Amino acid sequence: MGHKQTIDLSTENRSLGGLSGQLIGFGAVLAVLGLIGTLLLGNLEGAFESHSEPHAAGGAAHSSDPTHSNGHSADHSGGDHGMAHGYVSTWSIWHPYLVSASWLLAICLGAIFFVLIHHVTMASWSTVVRRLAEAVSRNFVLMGLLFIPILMPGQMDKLYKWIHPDPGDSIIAVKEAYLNYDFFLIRMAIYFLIWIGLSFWYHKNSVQQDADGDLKRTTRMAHFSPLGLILFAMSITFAAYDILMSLDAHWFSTIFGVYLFGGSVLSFHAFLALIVIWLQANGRLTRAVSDEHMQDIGKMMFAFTVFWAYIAFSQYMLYWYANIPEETAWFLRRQENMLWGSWGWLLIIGRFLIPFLFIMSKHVKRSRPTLAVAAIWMLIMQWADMYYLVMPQINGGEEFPFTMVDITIPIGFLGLFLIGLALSLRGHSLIAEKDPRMPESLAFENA
Amino acid sequence: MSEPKTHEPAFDTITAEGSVDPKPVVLIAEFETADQLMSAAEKVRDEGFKRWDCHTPYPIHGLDGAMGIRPTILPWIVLGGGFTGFCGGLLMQGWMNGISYPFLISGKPFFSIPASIPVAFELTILLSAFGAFGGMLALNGLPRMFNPLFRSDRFRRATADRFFISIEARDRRFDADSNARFLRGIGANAIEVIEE
Repeated sequence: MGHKQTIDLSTENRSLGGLSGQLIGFGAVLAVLGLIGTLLLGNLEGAFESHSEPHAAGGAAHSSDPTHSNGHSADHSGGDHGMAHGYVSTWSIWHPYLVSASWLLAICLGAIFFVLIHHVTMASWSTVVRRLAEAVSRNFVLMGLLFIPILMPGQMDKLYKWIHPDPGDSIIAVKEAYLNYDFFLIRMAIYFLIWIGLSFWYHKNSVQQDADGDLKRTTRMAHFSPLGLILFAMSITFAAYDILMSLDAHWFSTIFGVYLFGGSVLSFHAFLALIVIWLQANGRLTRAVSDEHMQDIGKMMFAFTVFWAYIAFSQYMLYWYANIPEETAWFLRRQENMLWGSWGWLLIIGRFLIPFLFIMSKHVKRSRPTLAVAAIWMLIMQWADMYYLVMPQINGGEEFPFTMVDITIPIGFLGLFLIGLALSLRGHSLIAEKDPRMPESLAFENA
Repeated sequence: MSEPKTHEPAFDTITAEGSVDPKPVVLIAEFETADQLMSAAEKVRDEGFKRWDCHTPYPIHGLDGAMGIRPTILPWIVLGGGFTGFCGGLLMQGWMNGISYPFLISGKPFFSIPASIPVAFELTILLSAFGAFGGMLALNGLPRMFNPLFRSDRFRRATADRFFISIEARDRRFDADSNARFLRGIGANAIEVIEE
């Protein structure tokens, strides 16, 4: 073994080069497949029919009894036994759309957090992969575009009941100062302004440092990062409340933003591991990013698997203990029927127990194939988690929402995401060339 | 001091005060740089020594490999501790709340998993930490109040600017003369034998 040789960056293949075309092509294929699949299969299943004819597919119970759905929605609009609901009663194409958009938004949020925490702690190990995180975070632009259709005036009420609450719904009435269409749009604009601003500013400074090697950029980025983290924390918390929690406007959980945050950081590190493995398989950054760095990325995946479980359980246990109807309603509809009950177990076992045991060993983290398997699994589980947050909100969880568009939309979005990533990664180095901590990062070893 | 030798000794000898019939317990070799120590460690390893160690002022990455140290079993001790804590925590609460002293609290089941997780979790952490801390001490043979190495004044520089290899007399290949010559040959600039 002996002493490790210092790596000379100039001998490393560190530009995306021809791979950008490959990535854009692959992304385009996925996007087209997703789009065609969504249009064809969605049309078959009646996903694009107008609101007056509720979705009747995706479950034998419902498709065999269309009048049931119709009757249900009529009941709701007329006030079901005097009970007002905070959630919508019918499935719409926007539900799987929101699941997929939140899934990818989580990766971007994790990316900007990675960049900010890197600067605020003046970390050195992560310097070699920081440029990749900066590029991923620039996909906030794409995410912003993807969220626009949801926010259209005629569409948003298909997701959010609080836009047109049941008459006499006093719970939503008192929240109206916050939960109203105009303010919601303003907040969404602020969130995306913060996210896009942070990601572009950090990416720009980092890329310009490649050219001028100005050390002031490093201090400037570090000085701004605490404020950036505060902005990030506030925006992810309120975005989680707005986008996902307000699907049931009656329910509330103060820890909900942290829950989304845990999943975000987890899925970003999984995504980062996959990008690095893909780049290295194509001869990029083969020595700059070593087993040591992969082990640290794996450690973060492990840590945030535990963190997610900790937060998910904290949220559950307090509501279980207090046992107050308005708080338990959210969990009740996820436990009282077979489908969502099993889905909950899928998350406990598939999102926590299996990855927890699987990537505990350092050998699993240091080997590319096993880390890739873990990363792909975790990204699928992040999608399953988003599904669990969104879908049971429809009609109190009594709807069985499986349709083929649940598969085609994420594929299409992932394609767009990869195109966005390729556009952000090309035209400059894959590594923060002149970062003052680069030599330290290249020589990094786990003690 | 040491008994007369036919040739000039290749090392200094330090003998514990007041010891009758002193025998060598450990041999130390001093090196100037970390690189010298690293290559020397590889040669000592290849020579087949088993009971020996390196002493450096700061951690040197890659030294474990150069010394041929096998991976520690400590992680398994920690895992065992954590597993014991988790199962023990659940069993304890199951027995207390469910069997020994069932007490109805706000309509909850006598024993239920959600209510038991926090204690089981804390015990998992606690026994893992005990396993890590106690296991580390036990595997390193600590605590140990005195080490014959402390008798050497030269060895004090192991905490400042010198690098040392020590070979214990318990090693099957230990022989003060030939070891000293061997270590000189691979770059040691001073050798001492400590007797007790």
